[in-house]
Amino acid sequence: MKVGFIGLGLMGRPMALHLEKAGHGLHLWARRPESLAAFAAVNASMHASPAEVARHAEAVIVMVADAPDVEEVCLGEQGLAVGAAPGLIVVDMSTINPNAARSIALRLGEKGIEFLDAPVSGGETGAINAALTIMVGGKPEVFERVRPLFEKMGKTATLIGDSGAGQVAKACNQILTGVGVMAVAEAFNFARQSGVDPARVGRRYWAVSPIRRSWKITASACWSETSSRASRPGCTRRTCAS
Amino acid sequence: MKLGFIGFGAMGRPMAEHLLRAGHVLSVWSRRPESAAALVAQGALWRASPAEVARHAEMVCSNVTGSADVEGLAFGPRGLAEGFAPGSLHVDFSTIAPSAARRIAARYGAHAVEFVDAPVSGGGDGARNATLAIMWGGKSALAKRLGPVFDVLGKTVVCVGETGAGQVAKACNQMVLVAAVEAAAEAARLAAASGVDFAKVRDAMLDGSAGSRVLDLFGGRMLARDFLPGVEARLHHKDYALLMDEATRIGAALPVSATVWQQLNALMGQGRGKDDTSSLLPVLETGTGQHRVR
Repeated sequence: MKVGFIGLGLMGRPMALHLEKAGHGLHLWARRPESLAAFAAVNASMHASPAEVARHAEAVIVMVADAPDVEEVCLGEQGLAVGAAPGLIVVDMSTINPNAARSIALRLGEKGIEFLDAPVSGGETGAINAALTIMVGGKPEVFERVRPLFEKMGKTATLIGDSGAGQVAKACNQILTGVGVMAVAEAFNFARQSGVDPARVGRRYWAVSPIRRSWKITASACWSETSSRASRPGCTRRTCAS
Repeated sequence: MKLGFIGFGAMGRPMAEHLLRAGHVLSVWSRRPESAAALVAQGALWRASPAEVARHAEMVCSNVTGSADVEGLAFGPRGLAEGFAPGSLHVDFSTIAPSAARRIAARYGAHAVEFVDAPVSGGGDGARNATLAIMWGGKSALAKRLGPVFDVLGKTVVCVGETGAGQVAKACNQMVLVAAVEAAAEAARLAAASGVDFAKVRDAMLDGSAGSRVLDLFGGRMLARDFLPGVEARLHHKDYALLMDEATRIGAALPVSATVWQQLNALMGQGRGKDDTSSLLPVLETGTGQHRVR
């Protein structure tokens, strides 16, 4: 399948490279041309606008920051809709507001363009390891057509429901992650203020406790933070708050 | 080993049975003798008071409800302290205040009796399947004596630190656990209110970075609308009172826990205290009259 990819940041770049490695020719456009450097040596064509990308692709994946960026890429002056033939599938893997996703799906639909909201969980590591969890909203038959692409980027892709449902699932995911991170931080501080070594509460015990993965990662970030007092972002506060 | 056991609730009874089956000689006493009858039928020895239990055991295990229960059991009339020989050991599996655990240990000091706070996590299932996580506080040199008992009851045993440290670890556990239950309930509400099937959302999340045993277990009960305990929510409510009290004493800020505590208060006010803690979901649904999760 000829695949367009827009949004070649920390997440998008490894995701696009997985698709290329699987034999899909890539059609790319980037706001900042330097983002394209990583694709110089692979089977990828560079284009002057999203509209041009749409002209050459059967499916376009969008992985940008927020709803205004998705709107601009899809429906802007030189957006995907301008170059798209009817039947093009746009897959937005950014995390945006469910209502914005429904609105974009409607407006693209009026032009005969299919749209899936397909936000992901798993972060940069998940993107690099093709181990993302992909939560999808949209039509089942459209989901089935791009499922082979999802399988190259993630370990699970689930059709949750109609347009916007993927974004609702992602919001649910972030509620759990956010509360988990806060609760672990509180517990860590509570232990420390009680004069108990949080590492002894944590390392061995929390390994079997109700928390898992992101929470464990948070906990280990807390532990290493006490020793080094420097925490490198896995996910930045700005992204988590948006 | 000659052991004593007191407190035969949902957790205590299967724990005592495991100890009996492992070949320990078990002396028992209970405020309500009928709650120990099944154990006596299996070979446990009935004693007339906690003091009598202590007289016949090198180590006494207890699993009761609150700080006052443990303190009464130890130092009340005909309490354990009256019967213990010097060098004996009291292992308390109850979830109580860390400061109460430290106070009890200090009072036992006058009798040359050792005290270990060893709260457990894993619920009724964990007790029945001997897969509890046991976090204990006390002198680390006691580990050898405790091994034959702990190994029969749990799969993860961690000495967290000095007396009271086990209770601090348990408080940490409850904070993270119930906050996760509340987060799962809120996610379920958001999905339902958005017209999205939470069953599918939960399936997708279980594989991702927000996946957890809480989402699996409690989220599953929410989907099934099966609010039978599990662990009765009133016990989590009690645990939150303990940990918020402790946090006030030591000056630790717990904003998330404070919010979760209020949801548990609402749950109690709605008469759901004997339901499972997954009934934090109906608390969120109260008064909306719509958008129920399934």
